[in-house]
Amino acid sequence: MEAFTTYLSCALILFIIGLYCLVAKRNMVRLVIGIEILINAANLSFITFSAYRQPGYVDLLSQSIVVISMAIAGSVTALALVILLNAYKHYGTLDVRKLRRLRR
Amino acid sequence: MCISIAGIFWTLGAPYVAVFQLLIYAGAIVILFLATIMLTGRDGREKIEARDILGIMASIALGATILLLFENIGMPPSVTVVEPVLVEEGSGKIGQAMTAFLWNQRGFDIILQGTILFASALCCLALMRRRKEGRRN
Repeated sequence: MEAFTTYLSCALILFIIGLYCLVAKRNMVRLVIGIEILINAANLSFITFSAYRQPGYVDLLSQSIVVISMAIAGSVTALALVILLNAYKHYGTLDVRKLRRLRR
Repeated sequence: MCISIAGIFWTLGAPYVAVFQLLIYAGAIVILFLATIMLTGRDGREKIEARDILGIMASIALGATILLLFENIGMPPSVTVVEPVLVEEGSGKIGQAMTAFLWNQRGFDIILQGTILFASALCCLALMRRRKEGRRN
């Protein structure tokens, strides 16, 4: 059970780092990285619960959910980065505060 | 970070997920981020402000709340939807069981996932194309 707590603590630390990125950072690239870290934290907690629900066995349902979540996270990131590139070409900055000021 | 999380997945008896993690995160997403940073240039280091410290404190407070919730709630109730696979059977057997499970029981999800990936690729292409047309005008 100690390993279970350790893995969950890892997920929690990742969650806190991702949340900090979302709350404190202004650069859009760093915000997207924060979202990725949050998704990783959620995936890690899913796999941890799947491994320790029944000792000695693994649950395939949560693993399949994590695989699907990863693929969707990849596509979301690609879209976010393309939108970010367009914003940079249009406004010349990635600072979300400046972008909010430039909004028409 | 991506590679170490893949290692954790492997040790937790999820080799299929670990390989996916390496392929998608360490392979694709990191390259996407590198390309974006290369195209946009460096913004320089952000100065630490009072808002940042407030953000750190808020994040830690939320993390502590979640930790307390985990301690009080504990393990979720066991509802057997799928037959679990024995870890001692090895990563090859787990990978085979995972592949069979994905295609036999989550086939519709996989097709939907492929559709989402295809749609997002089309959206990316459309957004990049629009930028080029704007440049010509």
